[in-house]
Amino acid sequence: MDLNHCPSSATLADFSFGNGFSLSDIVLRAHISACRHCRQKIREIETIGSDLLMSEIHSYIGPTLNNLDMNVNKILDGYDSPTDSVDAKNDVLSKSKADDFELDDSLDCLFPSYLDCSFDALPWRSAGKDIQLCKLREDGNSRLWMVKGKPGAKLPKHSHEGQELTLVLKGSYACSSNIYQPGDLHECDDENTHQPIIVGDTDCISLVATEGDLKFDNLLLRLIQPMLGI
Amino acid sequence: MSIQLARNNPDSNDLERSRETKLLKAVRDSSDKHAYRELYKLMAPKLTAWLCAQGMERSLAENVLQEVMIIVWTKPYLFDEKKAAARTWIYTLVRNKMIDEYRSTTRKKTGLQKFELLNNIDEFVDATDVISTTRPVNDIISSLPKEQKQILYMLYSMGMSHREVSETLGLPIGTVKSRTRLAFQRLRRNIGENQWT
Repeated sequence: MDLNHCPSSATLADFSFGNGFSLSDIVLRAHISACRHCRQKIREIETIGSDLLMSEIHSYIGPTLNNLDMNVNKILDGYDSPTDSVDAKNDVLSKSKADDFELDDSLDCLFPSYLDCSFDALPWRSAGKDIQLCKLREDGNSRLWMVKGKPGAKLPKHSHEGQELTLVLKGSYACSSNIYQPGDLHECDDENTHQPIIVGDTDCISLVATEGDLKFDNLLLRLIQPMLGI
Repeated sequence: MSIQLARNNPDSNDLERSRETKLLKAVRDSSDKHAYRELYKLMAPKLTAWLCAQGMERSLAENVLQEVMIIVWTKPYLFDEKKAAARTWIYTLVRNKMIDEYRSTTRKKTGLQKFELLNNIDEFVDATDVISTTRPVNDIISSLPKEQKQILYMLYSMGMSHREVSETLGLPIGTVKSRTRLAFQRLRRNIGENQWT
């Protein structure tokens, strides 16, 4: 499936190397599962990584030749090479970050499997007129949210202390002249101030990973921010 | 920290890449011990060095490497040359193992400390010139502006997130992102699909 809004190359590189914050991986996985463009890009990132790995930059340290012989003998003497491939299909050890998702190229995968209830059954909390929030996970200063808005609802104008990744699961919203629809990933960081507005006829539900607190222009929101935990 | 700035024959990487894949296919298809031994000697030093550059202790890096190379010997049927070159497959194994076993702020902190050990940023940028020693990807990387090479190197070799790169270099995060995007655009334009494997 071709989607209109994808994560930046820098964010895909972080995802590929495991260098980013982990709750964002959940959001990225859901997007990548529906985006062949990003899967291809991850393969390219891995190929570049392996070429750099084999370049001379990494040759300044390593086992001595004697140790190499000893270590390789340990493996050849201690382990039999297999003759069949019974568990090849289920083995995750050598998976590309792009492989994890190849089985599902549809929007079905955007509904996270770890949610064992329908969206309606989530413990939503009101966060302003026509806006509801549900905190799914918290890890240090990172949080994973579901955000729901009714048609026409405006989220408060805000920026972030860190990165914010938003994946549209249902409905759509407009922000900075762009429309974000199911499967699209919207990436923001501490240099962006934005105000999403729900568009279309249906509620918009998004999965959002945030790093650090949100920063609001509105004084009242800043005062009640600790109560909302955002 | 001293980095050996050796230069390879510019054509060597294509040959090395094909050679590694041929060796791994021999291991997979014929359980060829000689091929395995050669592959091990080609890859193990660089893999260990890469793990250390990610901030991993030397002894742990060697253990992780040994576990990965056991997989290469006992489960070579997982390798599919249509999907990736041997080096990319083994790199993926090492990366996954590293993420599983050593994913923590400790690794990142150590990685940053290692970076700070470099005397100055010029030495660091100069070190990225060594990337030009192999083909095809590295030839193209060598033609990138220094500031793009620098960021690629920090992301790939130092194991930094783009946020850490931004903090370390004192650059706005948007600048780091745009330099990364430009570098990838250049790489994508210049490298044909048939050259990825």
